[in-house]
Amino acid sequence: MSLRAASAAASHGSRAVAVLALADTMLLHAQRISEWVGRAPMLEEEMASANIALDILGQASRLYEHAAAISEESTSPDELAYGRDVDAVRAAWLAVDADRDFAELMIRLLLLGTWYATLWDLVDAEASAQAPPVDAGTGTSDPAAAPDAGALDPTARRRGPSLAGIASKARPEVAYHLRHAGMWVERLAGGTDESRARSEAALARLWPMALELVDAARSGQADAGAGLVDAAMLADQWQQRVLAALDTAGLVPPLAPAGTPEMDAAARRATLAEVLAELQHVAREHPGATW
Amino acid sequence: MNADATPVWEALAGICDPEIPALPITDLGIVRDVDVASDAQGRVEVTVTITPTYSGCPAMDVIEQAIGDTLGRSYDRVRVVTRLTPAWTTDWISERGLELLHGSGIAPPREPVEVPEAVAGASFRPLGTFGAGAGPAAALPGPACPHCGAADAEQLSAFGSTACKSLWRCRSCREPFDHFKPHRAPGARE
Repeated sequence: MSLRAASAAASHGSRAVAVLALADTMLLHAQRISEWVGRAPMLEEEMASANIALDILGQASRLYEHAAAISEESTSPDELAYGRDVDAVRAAWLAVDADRDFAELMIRLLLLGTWYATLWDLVDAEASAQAPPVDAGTGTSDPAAAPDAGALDPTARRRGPSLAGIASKARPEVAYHLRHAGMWVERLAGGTDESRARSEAALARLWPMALELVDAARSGQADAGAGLVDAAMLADQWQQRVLAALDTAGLVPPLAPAGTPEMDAAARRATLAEVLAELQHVAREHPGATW
Repeated sequence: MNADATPVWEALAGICDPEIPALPITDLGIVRDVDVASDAQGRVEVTVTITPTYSGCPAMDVIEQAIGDTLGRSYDRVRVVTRLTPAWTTDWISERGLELLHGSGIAPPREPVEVPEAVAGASFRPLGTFGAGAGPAAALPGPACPHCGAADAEQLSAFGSTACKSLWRCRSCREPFDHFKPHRAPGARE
């Protein structure tokens, strides 16, 4: 294998890993948010949780389509989402960890939502720099105008949606989620003694988990977004945006992350296995089922 | 649009979004392209390109199915292609579509989504400007009430019965109503 081919293969590999890890993170995050449906503090937040989870699940689903399309093995989006075991799933711990209260739901949404928003913005900026936007009409030169798994005709050649296409759909959605999370974080932090204390506790507990993801990006790990975008830029911009939002709410993240994570690797694995058991239950019980 | 495509567009105009039964998919702006081609045997294939509204909108599958069923009655082969970019925006809802929404009691999208500036570094609205609803609905300038026309609505919930709607209440006639949320890329102008 030539040096160029080897480097292309490595870059394809890290891209595939990055896409799958992002899809996993969003799938698990959507699952955790949907756990609030039925136990949110008010009806409006039940609807918010259901809607936000559905958007994030939809974005994850597109990412799995993209991952299946670029995979060197023959696989399907469902197989990737529902057929992989606990040791293969690469979701960020911040998305897997369960919310202990409503403050954690909102602070987690602020931290992870800003991560998604920053990443999509970088993907979008890169795509715009490479090709001028296509006319909002019938342009057939659109590189993302590829049939995806939604094509009805089974003989059609199936390709996946482009990452830029996924990003352009996701950007307004995540901006709306962030507006919701930002207003709640601000309100909780500036509310009663109880809501303030819970907000601070939530940030103290979740911040080290967020830093794990950001540090992994800074060190160039594929499953923290390196391979998709400039990961150092992703980490820096995430931090700027999050600190600004927290500052507006009058919250300050802990100066230094806790020395030891509150859960060791084995405990984390057990938690992930538990969520996956529920998430993948129907697909595993009825393989290949359609309705 | 070529001449052959006209009857296809007309047929598509008879298909409505299952979650907004008043609104044909052609007025919703999700049908981006129609192509009609025939092969050497004279078999006619129609390709309809659609773009989803929201990433997770469950209505899209139903719409694809309806397109296949409807056109399948008149054409030999129907393909539905999903295109993600350029992304759908409420700016693509036709004038007629806006009127149909209004007529069915849904306030049409009328102003750009305000991007959460705080996330970009500026500030959120100060506390105390939230609406009277249970959630922290911001005191955004509300849509006009589709029932009585008064421009004095409060947001009850930023999220509604479907991904594309939020829930409001008119302070004048006291009726609640759905608002079709303005949807476009952050930073994009109306």
